[in-house]
This record gives sequence, structure tokens and C-alpha cells, in this order.
Amino acid sequence: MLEKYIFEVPLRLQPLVDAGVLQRVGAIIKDTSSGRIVAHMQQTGMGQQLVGSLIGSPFNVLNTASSLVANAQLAGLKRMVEGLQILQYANLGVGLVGMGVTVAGFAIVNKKLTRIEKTVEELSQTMDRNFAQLYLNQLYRDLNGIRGVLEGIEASKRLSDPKGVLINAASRLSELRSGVRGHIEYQLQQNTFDEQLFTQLTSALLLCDNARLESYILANEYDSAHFSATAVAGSYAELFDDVTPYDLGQKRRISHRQPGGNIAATPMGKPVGDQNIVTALRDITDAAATQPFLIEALDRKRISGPEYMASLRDESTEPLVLVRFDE
Amino acid sequence: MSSTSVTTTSQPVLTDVDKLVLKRQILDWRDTWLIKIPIELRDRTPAITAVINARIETISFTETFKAKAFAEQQLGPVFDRWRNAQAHEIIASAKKELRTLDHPELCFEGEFSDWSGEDTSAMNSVELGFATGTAGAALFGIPAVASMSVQSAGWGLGLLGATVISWPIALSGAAVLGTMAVFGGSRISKYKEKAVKKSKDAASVFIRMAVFAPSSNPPSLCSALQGHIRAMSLLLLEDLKHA
Repeated sequence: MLEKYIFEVPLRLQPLVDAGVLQRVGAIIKDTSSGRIVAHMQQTGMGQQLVGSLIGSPFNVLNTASSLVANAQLAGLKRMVEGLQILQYANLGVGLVGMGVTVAGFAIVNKKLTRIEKTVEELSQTMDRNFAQLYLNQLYRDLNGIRGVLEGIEASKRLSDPKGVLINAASRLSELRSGVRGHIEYQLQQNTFDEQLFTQLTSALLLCDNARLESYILANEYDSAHFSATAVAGSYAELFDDVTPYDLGQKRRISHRQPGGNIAATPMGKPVGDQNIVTALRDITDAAATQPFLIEALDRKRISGPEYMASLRDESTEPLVLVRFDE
Repeated sequence: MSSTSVTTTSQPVLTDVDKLVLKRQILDWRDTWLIKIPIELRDRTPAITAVINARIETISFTETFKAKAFAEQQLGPVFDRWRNAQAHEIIASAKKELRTLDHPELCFEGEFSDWSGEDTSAMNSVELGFATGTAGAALFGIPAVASMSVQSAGWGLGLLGATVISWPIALSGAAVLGTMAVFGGSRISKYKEKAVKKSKDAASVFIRMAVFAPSSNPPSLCSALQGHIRAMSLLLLEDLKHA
């Protein structure tokens, strides 16, 4: 088979990034002087498993000497993502770069959704009872809707012609993400800030959007994938560009002052920090903005979507690869 | 008329990726200055508090009976000058950093010129989210400061109020002085000291309010400067879309 793309180990390009010859922008690596896109960053099945193992772990687990870091693979991932300044993704428990929901497999995704539900349930203890009931009902409905659609995508792998199911799934995810986006908007409009709830909801939104994009790619519907990726990028910019560390800090102070208020923390108890959250949101927004470039390249090179996703899933040695196209 | 625009030279054309890089830099710049402004002001405020305190120290016995005039003529202008100077210095520093964005093809031009109380242009009143008319006055003018004094009177007593509240602590001090006048010089001196101390405390509270109060109507100096940074970044981002 003619190699239309190759996976490269990010560390090989790192010296060029360090020297300023190459620059990372979102999920792409570009030539600094010419502006040409050199490679697209992609997380592999192995990377998803590693990130999956961190779900529920705070950001700084990767910064401290813990038993997790003793894991050689994780240490490798740590070096890699630190160099590329994308460690923050791991904190949000989402794919390091863009796609990865179907690559990760339903077990990991299900774990993410369960964690989100559990977090929200814990947080409801602090809400007004009537409001909490209404809020939770809607949120559970949305999260279970996402779970159902993802199950459908997983099951479609066994179909001889899954295209119709995948396109329907993508369409349904488009509706469901609106609900999740609404929850995030609501959180951002509050005078207080709950880091735990916010990161979990953001995680759900990203999961939903990545799954939608992958569904189109798996269906070889690059035009729809490109349209969705562009819309998602715009949506993240609208949602997150106005979030600033200063404003989060102010809201956090108000939360702290309220009766029974406490600084919301990650599931393991330590707050991530406003700057880290905002950096993560910026990285996510940038990565989403560069996603259409990857789809354009896949389409231009007439690369089969299912084959491409399978090669990411089957990559067993590197958690993160740089995809280079044979131009 | 204030205006800010992003102009591009004829070459090279900014690619979408270039725009993404610049957008991130503008957002980072905004985020940095939103945090930096209160820190800068915190460092600078002790100086004006000391100057105002020194002026209060010079208040004469007769001036204590004309506290309102003293505040308006002696303290108000000092505080206003300081406030204007800080505003211009901080915005100038922020703009200087903006010009260092590493994209020579894109020139950030235009000035938020004459950012003053008189400027009620659409940009200032709408983009900055200030109410027309009171916009600049809130930041630079005595009447608006007076209204802030009224609003804050519940927990902090106004100092520069020209209308509703006329330096109440000083006035009460003066009343005490009037009563005490019959008891001789040492007691007058003692109660004058007390009045001066109370006035300094009130001044300190007022300065804190005028500089740092989180309320946006009227905005404190900190809120107004932060609003200005937000507005600049919004305009730049908007222009970048069309660059």
C-alpha cells in the first residue's frame, strides 16, 4: 500500500520546536518561517489509555513523584506533553489532541461519563434542592443521551455498512452537545465558580464533539466533518475566549466567602488553579481551530477515514504521534 | 474620538494559522493585564494615601468648619491628578507590551486618545460598558465620586463628596471642636488630633473604594482600567478577523 501519511515521534521534532524552526499551534506543527503545516498532532490508542488511567486524577499528579509517574510509559508521556506544553489536557481528562473517543474505546469513554455523573451528583448536595433536582434531571438526560449514542457508535463497528448509523449518531451528538454547552454557559454566568463541575462539563462537551467528528470521519464524510470541526472551533472561541484567570479568581473568592463555600477541587481534592484551567481552555480552542486542517489533508489525500482511525487505534508504542502527509 | 484598529501592510497576507497565533497572544496579553492592573495599583496606592494624609495634617482650625471646601479644593484635585496619571501610565505600559507581539506584518495602530471624562464617544460609552455622560466623570470627576461616596456611606465614609456627603467625619469632628472651644487649647488640640485621625481613616477607606471597588457603576479605577483592556482586546480581535 502506498504510504500517504506517516506517524512520527514528537520528540524527534522537539529540537526544531525548541530552536524556533518549528512552532506548535493548536494541534499542528508549522514551519515558523514559511508557515507551512509540517505535521498534525494526534493521540493514539495508547495515549488514550494513559490519559484514561488519569481520569479523576488531578493535574499535578503528573508533577509530583507518585506511583503513577513511576510508570515508565506515563513518564514518557509526561516528557512528551511537557515539551509540547499540552499537559493541561490531561487535567481535563480529555483527549490530548482532538479526536480519540472511538480510538479510546467505549470502556474508557464510559468511565469518563460515569465520573462526570458522579461529580455532578456530589455537587448537587450543595445546591438548592428544587433547583438541583431540575438541573440534575436535565444533565443526566443529556449525559445518558451521549452514552447511548456512543454505544451505538461502538456497536456500528460490527455492521457491514455502518455509514447510516454513524451519520445519525453525529447528528444526534450535535443536538446533545447544545445541552452540555448550555450547562457550561450557565456555569460561566454564575458569580461563583465551581472548578470541579466546570471541568467535568467541559470534558463532556469535548467528548461529545470529538465523537461527532470521528463519526463523520469513520463514515468518510469529510465535508460534514470539516463543517462540524469549523463550527466546534467557533463554539469554543465563543464559550472560552472571555474566560480569564482574573475573573475565575474573583468568582472563586466569592464562592469561598459564601456560607459553606469552599474552593472546589478536582476529584482528588486539590484545585487545579485558574491559570492552568484557562491555559487548557485556550489549548483546547486552538486545537479545535486547527482540526479542520487535518480533515482537509485527509480528504485531499483521499485517505480512508476508517483506516486512518484504525491506525491510530492500533499504534501501541507511542501515546502521541505527529502525522505527516506525503505532499 | 478614540479609536483602535489593526492595519496590515500589503505583504504578506496573514494566514488563518497566523491569525490563530496572534489571537492567542492578544488573549494572553489581556489575561496578563487583568491580573497586573490590581497589582500595579496596590503598589501605587500607598503613595497617594500618604500625600492625602499629609494634606489632612495641614488642615487648620478654621478649615475644619469648612470641610467640604477643603476636600474639594485641597484633596480632590490631588487625588484626581494621581488617578489620571496612573490610568495613563498603566494603559501606556499595556499598549507598549501589545506592540511587541511577534508579528511585524501586523501593526497595532490607533490610540485610545484623550481618555478623559469629557470623552463620551460611542466607543467609550458603549464598548467600555460605561453609562454615557457619567462614563468619564465616574472615573475622573468629582460629582461621580460624590455619588460613590453616597453609595459607600454604609460602610466607608466618603471624603471627596461635594453634594450629599460632605466629609461627615470631619464635620462631626468640627462640631466636637465647637463644643470644646470653651474648655481651652489642650482639649481643642486633642480633639483636633482625633478628628484628623478619623479623617485619615475615612480617606483611606475612600481611596480603597475609588481605586479597587469591584462595583462597575460607577467603576473604580481598577475596574475602569480592566474594562479598557477588555475593550482593547475585543476591538483587536474583531479587527484581526478581517485582517
